[in-house]
Amino acid sequence: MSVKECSPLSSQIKALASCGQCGACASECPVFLHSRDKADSPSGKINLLQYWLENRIDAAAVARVLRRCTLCGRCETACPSDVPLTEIFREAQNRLARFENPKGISFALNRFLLKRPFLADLFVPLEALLVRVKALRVEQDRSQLPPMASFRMTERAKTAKGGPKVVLFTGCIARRRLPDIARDCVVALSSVGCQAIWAKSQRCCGSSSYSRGDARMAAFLARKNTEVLNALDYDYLLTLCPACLSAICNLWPRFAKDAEKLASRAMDINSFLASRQVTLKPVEQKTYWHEPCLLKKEEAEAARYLAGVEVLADFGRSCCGEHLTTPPCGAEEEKGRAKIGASLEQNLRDAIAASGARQAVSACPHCLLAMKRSFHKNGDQIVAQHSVQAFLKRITS
Amino acid sequence: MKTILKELARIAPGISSDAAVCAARVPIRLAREQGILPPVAVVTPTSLQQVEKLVKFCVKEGISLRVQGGGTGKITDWPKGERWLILSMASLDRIIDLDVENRSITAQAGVTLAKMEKAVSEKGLMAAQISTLHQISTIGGCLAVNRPAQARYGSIGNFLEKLTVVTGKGEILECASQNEAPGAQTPVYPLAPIFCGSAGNLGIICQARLRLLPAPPLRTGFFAVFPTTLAAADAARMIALAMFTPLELEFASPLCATLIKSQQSGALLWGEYAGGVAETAAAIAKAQKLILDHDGALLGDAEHFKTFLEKSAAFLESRSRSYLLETVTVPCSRFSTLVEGVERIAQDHGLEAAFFGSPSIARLQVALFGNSELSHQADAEIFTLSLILNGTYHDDHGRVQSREAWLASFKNSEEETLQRGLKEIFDPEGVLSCR
Repeated sequence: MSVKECSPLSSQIKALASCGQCGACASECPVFLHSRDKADSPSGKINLLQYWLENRIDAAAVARVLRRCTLCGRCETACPSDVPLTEIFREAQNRLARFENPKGISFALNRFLLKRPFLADLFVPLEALLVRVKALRVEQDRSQLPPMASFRMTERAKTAKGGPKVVLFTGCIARRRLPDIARDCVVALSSVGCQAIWAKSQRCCGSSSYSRGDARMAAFLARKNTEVLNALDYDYLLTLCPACLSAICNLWPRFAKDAEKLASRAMDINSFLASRQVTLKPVEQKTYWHEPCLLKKEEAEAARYLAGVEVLADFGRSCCGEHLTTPPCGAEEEKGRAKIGASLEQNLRDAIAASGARQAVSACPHCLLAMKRSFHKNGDQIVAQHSVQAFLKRITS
Repeated sequence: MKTILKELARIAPGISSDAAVCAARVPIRLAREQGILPPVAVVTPTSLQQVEKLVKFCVKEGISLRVQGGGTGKITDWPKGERWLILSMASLDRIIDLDVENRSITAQAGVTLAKMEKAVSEKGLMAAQISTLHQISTIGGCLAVNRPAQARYGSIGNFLEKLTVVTGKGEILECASQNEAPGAQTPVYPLAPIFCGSAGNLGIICQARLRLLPAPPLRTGFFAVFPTTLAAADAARMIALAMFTPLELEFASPLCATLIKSQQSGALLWGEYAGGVAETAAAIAKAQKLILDHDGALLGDAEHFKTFLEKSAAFLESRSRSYLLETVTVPCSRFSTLVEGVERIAQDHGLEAAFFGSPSIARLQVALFGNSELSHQADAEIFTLSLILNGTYHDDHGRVQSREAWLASFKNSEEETLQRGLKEIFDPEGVLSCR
């Protein structure tokens, strides 16, 4: 493939050239620190992309490496030359995905369900049930699912009367796998005097479809979500997943013409709740804070404030590995990739267990899913909570 | 080639010939400018014996071998052609022994500085090794280039007690250094210093025993800004020459500070002291007085500046491909003369100079911005200046031609013959480097 043919990436070619291969990014990359393979380091990937753009290497080989990137963005914070690494890798993942092996039946099924969220709502509990009764064999890591919460998100969860109107964009994990987080967010919003609305017809944010190279699906989801959300009357659009917020602000405006308006009202739920004047009780329990990759600095500060975490226990080098453990869009599992994900997940669990904390807090449902899964797998008595859930305890208990 | 790969896999199962894994090891600029091809495979041995067998196999087959530690890109001698391998030390990453009583650590070459520091700090000790990339820099890599330790302690070579290397002939050598613990009976010549700093040209460092220090009871620092570069350089010189040597002393010129988006305008100086409570407090008070005497202003947040300087090092290094950047070292007492000279040379050539460095070891890294040809001329003048000041010129960033020029002009033929003789003894087939 020539530079001309991959024009969507060519806008970043200048940025690619500004990478001086100093390696500062590598010391922050959780995947590289795990594998110690130069190809996994951000500077190694930049190098490979340049090889690819100059037709010096097979695209499929680069695609395999790029897929191991979690897009956590830690490399970008370390880059002294301000190379927009996350954007480059997201775009590259999207462009290179078509050179990968043909997608399997799970890819098609996932696409089918992404278009039909109501069926997807039914599919996840069904999958969990089938796994439990051993009627369905899935990858070992995925079979270790935490027990499903009994609560299911419904439109009846909305509150009413008074205060600012907020729409809660739950994202797929909080909607289906960990619906108690979504429920607690609604309760938290109500308790600070807001009218929380949850639109059942909202869909996946599309970020994982995009990074899997399915730009058409990402565009479809962006348009549908914009349509649904713009039909509502509200003041703020709140997300409880940093990946969703990133998609709303950066991805949707590229595919849906009215998404800009929507993006201007979108914000992280932690920042929103922290701005409300609420008296909070001190936290007595030792709490481990895991900082999600896409959470911005001020959002992370807000989340820590809500959870009452004083010290940044997790220095930010650990990654939950969820992005690698659970293949986005249900593509065929790549063993090496899943292995790295599982190992990162276990490393995080070990760090939490070693800290002696009885509760772990994060602000991302993906991280929480990984944490819950690893605690379940290791038989730990550690509670994994969303920062909003920790906040709720501090105002209600 | 398939047979060779098969045989290599038999020797060391950790082998990858994946196109991406191999290409990622060779910077694209080398492929473009020098036609360097990716290696045929990246081999990751897990034991000393595997390294030994691999080298022997490469000697037999005439295959070149280059060692990579943390992948910080310090390979300077890239092989031409296809028949070459990269030996990754990533899996030789075990700490063999941590002897708290005798304050020493024995570790494999692939152990990172971060891993070593974590292990020793848990025992109330410190390794005193430092790198901007300490999460990925390996002990083996640092020993191969005899990397500076924390400024007060010189270089990693000063901490070396024992070394296990595999020579270019595929022989395992266990060698001691002069630093071996007193009383130890060294049955051989202290050969370790020959390999430490040889950039992997003579042998592959596989394991090392390093001396450790007790963790200091107090660590404290300062951060200051100066109106002129010269005032900062002179204050730095005097602080470095004071009775109590700082653990670290870092300096950044105003342009360097601007490039790194510092909020301070002016030359910056950061220092850290470690030691006994009373002596450390006295030392920092003295440093603060010197700063004020040189019209400097003391600022808070020394920790922030440390991060800033780490970033500046990485930034200027990242620019080394586009601009001229090398490291000049002179005796400590001549640091401010060097800074003044570098500024003047840059000015004479109409170039902008950004530099930072460690005044306590009088080490300065210079980046020249502007016309490439003029930069080369200025570079030569800075080189000459460093020699006039009884200093030297490092080849930290792969500018082999500078080193060659230096060798030809300033090393006598006996020394050169001796060095070639050493190469002939340890790597007669040139498996580990072309020269």
